[in-house]
Amino acid sequence: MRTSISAKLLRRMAAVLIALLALAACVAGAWSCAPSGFQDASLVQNGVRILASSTTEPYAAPGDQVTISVLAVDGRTTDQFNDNPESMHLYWLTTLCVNPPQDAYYACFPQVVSEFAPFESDAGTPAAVVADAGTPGAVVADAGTPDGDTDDAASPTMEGGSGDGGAALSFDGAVPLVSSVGVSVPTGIIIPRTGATPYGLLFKFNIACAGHLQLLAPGPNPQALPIGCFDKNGIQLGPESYVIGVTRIYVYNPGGPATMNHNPVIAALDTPQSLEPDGALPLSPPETIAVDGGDGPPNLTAATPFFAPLCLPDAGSCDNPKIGAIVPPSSWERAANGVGEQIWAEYFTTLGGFSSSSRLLYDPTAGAIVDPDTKYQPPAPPPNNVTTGLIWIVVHDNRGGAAWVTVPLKLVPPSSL
Amino acid sequence: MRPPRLRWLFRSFVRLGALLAVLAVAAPAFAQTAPPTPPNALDQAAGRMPSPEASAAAAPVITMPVPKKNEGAAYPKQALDEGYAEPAEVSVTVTVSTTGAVTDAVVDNPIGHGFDEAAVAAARAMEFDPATRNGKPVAARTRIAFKFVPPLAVLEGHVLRDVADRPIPGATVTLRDAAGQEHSTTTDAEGHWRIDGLRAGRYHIRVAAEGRTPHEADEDVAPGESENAIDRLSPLQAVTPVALPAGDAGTEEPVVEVDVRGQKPPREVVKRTLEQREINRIPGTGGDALKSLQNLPGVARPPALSGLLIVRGAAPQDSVYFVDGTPIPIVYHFGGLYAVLPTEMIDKIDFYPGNFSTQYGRAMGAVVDVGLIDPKSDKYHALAEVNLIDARVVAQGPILDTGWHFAVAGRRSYVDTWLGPVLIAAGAGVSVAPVYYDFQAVAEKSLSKHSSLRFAAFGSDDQLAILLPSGSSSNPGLAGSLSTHTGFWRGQVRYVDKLGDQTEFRVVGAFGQDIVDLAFGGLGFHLVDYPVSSRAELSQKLARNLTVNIGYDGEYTPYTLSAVLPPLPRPGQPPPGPFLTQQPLSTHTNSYLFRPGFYTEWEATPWHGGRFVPGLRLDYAQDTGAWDFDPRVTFRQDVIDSPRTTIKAGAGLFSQPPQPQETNAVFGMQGLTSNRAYQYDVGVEYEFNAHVDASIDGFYKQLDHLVTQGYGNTGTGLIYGMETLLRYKPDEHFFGWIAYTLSRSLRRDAPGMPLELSLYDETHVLTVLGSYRLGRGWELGARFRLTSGYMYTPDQYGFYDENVGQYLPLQQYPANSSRLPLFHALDIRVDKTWRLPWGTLSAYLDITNIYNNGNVDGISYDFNSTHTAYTNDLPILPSLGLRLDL
Repeated sequence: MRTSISAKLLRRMAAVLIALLALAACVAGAWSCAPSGFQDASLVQNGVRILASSTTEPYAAPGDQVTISVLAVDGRTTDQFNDNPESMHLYWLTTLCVNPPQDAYYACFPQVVSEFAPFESDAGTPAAVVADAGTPGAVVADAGTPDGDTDDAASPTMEGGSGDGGAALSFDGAVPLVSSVGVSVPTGIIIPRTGATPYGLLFKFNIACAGHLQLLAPGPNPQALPIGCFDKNGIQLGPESYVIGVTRIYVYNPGGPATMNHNPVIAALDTPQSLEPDGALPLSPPETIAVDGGDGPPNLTAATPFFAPLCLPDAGSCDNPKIGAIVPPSSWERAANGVGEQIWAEYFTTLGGFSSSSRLLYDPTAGAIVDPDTKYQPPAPPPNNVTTGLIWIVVHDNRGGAAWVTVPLKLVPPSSL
Repeated sequence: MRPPRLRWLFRSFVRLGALLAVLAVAAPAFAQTAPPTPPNALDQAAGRMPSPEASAAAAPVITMPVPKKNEGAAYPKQALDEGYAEPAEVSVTVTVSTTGAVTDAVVDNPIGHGFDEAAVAAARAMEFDPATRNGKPVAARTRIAFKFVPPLAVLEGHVLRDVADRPIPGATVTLRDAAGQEHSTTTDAEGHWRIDGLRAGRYHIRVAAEGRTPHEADEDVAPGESENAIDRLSPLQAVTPVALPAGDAGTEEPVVEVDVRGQKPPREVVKRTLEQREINRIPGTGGDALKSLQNLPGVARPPALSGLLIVRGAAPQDSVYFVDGTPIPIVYHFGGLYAVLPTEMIDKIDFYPGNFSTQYGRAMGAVVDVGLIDPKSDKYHALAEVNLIDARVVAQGPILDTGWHFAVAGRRSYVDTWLGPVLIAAGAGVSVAPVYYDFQAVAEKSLSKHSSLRFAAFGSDDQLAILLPSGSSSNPGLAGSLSTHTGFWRGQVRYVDKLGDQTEFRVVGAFGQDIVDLAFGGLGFHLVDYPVSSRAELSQKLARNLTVNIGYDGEYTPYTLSAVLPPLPRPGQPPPGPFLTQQPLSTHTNSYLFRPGFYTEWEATPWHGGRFVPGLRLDYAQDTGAWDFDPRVTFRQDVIDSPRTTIKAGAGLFSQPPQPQETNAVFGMQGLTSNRAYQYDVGVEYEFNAHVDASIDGFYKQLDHLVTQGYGNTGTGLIYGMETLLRYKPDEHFFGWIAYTLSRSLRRDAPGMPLELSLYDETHVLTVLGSYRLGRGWELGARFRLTSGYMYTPDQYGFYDENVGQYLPLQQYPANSSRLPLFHALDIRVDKTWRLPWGTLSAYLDITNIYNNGNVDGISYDFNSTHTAYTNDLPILPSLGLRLDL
């Protein structure tokens, strides 16, 4: 039919124009235009990952004692683990890099190499975080047991680190690890800046590595860090086995408006789907899940699991339940120029995926987003009949603030929901 | 024996008597034509020649020297150079030896202007049969008169129909010189006419053809030169449509125009001009005028929808755009969709890929000067065109009986009407769906036979405001409200006055406003400026072959800038962190840019077919506080008449002040000076006939003082290559060309850093295109492009930014170390025109990439840069449009 063809053509032209606009945006560098076929970044099932980091004071003051906490996950596949059975470690590099040229992290690398003496704050066996996700509501994240020795003497600025154990999980999937380290902010760090309020900048580096670290021969690229992750046989490991993390801390003189910066608060999880501990649908399904577990901010744990429907091969279409972090408006702080923060949430899981792996919560100018949640997409069918997993929701603001929540995941038959 | 004194007296009388006798014989010859019959002269050996009486008495037999070789004297170049173009005569007394050679030549009455020297040289080159006495050779003197007639000139031209560009055979062309003498001829089947044997001077030309409005014009022609119209002609005047031959009815454009005007060789080494028909019909451009430039030699294939003009390996910001001499800030809507000036309002596009005239400055790359149309004056015309993206209207005609003519045009996109809902359905918040518009208005009047005044206004506006609720996996924080608003307008006045035969004055002034408003999240850039630009040129013909141009080209731009942005990264280095989370810098500035420029250029044609144009430009940039001194020179020489072959060369210095952001107190650096490019060109042009020409040009550019962010004027570069063009200019049926460019573009950001290929290096660029009128209103065109892939810097697995939750790739070093695969695509365009009683209706279908080749446009990476995939350029993409001419 003619109208059908016209409509089709119109839709096609619309799609083409959108593609053109996106392409233009790609050219401008605004978006990454990843074609389908890449692994979903939200699926933590293909290597060592760092998912989040948070500093007790996103904007510190000279002389402050701040703690940096990092959430890392050993998400290697079985094959990858068989190739290199060493467990993941999170190493902190001793260097505290202050005010590098152009604020560039890679300008710290010569100092990092010259001071190379990594230490672990989580040395030893993962802690007893047991996730019995088979029983809704029974996931207990005992993340408060440091079991590692910290070589505080390795760095004069270290206040000691603590390792929160990785989870000895009963479900297949990733092994999380939370590691913290203390940093003393030097005095006299603040320097004048053209076009900006005077500030100081600290860089702290860590490396999640399923092996040990070694210096490499320096290469021609000045932006490369000549440190490698090696297995016990001395073989340098690939990207699936290590992540080099970069944390920066801005330092301001106290009292100014720029210093008003706190980590965002995750008040609860927004999801209409939840079951009673016995798996039954409650009379009044709660709209939220509490996040009162874990160490407390920034490392939180959901009080109850997130239940999602199993998606079976013959199901036709599957439900995709909503999930999101509830961040109160009080977290939407304003920067020195009066513009609000941008706050967004990232979503990770060991099982399935999301309709969007990153969702905006607050826009600097538009404020709170009306429908900020994402939708969980269960795997169809679940690989190896695995029905339990973990979800991490990491909330960031654009001034370095962050908090996260670990959410047990349970896939249940749709009839249960 | 006689005393010596008496002997001397005797000899004197004998000589005098003999001389009188010779003069009496020779006088009639002097009164006739040159060279005259040699008069008698006596040998210096006085006494050896008898007196007439004695001769008669002794009956000696005397013969005078007889010229046996006389090549004559050419009209002296010096005279032509000095503007003397009148007939002249010079008498020379020569001494002929006994062998017949000329041993001496003396001008009797010098007249200057090089005639004397020319006469002496010609006399010395003569050979004679010597004088004899009684059969024996004797030395003798004789007198030669040389008459100089100024070389005659030629006027020729073509008479063509408007739009269709079809020749008009049988048109009568009448030339009338200052004395009222007329010369007439008629055009041949190709519409060509030629009149030889003209004396130098001004001719009034009248062209008349049956059913068409006669056209009259004046043309100056110099001695020995040919003023011709072998270049394409611009429309001048329209007449009532005439009946077309059966079979063509209903398929041809009704408007017919005639024009005769020669075109001087360009001041530049390379100047390329696209004509209306080419602009309208090049496949793959959607009939967009400025996109058609991308098919010329020297121009690289730009990234899709980037709107960039990459010429001879130069960065896009090194090239500048003008509308009739007034600079404009943006050229395309939404970065490349369509040009901000619709094709219908463009008369021509002059494109200078390098080594351009000193009338242009503050640029190291290319110059594009777009000429707006001269409104039609015969009656009212209207045009409307719609396609899937926008709609436009154009109207033009006389303004009552005021002598003014006008043209107005407007265009608005309507993608917002359907793209807005689509974006909303996709989850985006839409405040302002993508929309653009532009407008143009021209009013012009001829104040006198030699002066005209024109007012013009033109502008453009693009807006978009959306909210993206989701980030991407590789850049999770990159979401939020995004708004862009770019626009400009200009009011322009142009006055041209040919003050006399030798003097022309041209001035263009413009005032306007530019707006650039970008906001993303809490970051933003807001610029409003009010540019005042002026350009004036006085052209004075000092001599027949020397014209001097003196001009001023200045810009004064007060502006207000507010910006909250991360610092600019250094070239070749990754940013210090994710864009949104770097500590932004803020600036709020009220200031101005003042950049006056002065130039002069001397156009010399020292000999036939030669053109030598030295020039000098002086620029000042208030923001750097520095003067730039740019000498330039170009040279052209016709070396062969058929095929007409011209060799050419040029060299010059081209300075370009830093970009405004580079000298900004917050985002830039202090103490910067202008970027510089030394450009060298050599080339050859062939003109096989009125339609086919070819050229090959080699270019070499040495760059220094390049501004490198974070370093200063530390950058250097090297660009070299060759561009070729074989072109068939539009005729009744066909136009097309083959363009190929081979080039290399290198940069070094600072001493000690590696010399690397530029991001704009595109080694091979081949474009083959053509369009053919099939008849009955159908026209079919095709364009094939084959080019090297873009340069890029591969990303590798790098680091993880824990503050943002984003991987930071490790960029390969040095930059631009890899190249994307070869690009090739075929575009097809079909046009159909219907002639209707009330106007002309035409439709086109322009299909890009018709065999849907998966050309690679870029590289995409997964979230941690461990996996890559190609991103593709546009797939097969049809574009459909309708156009109505009234």
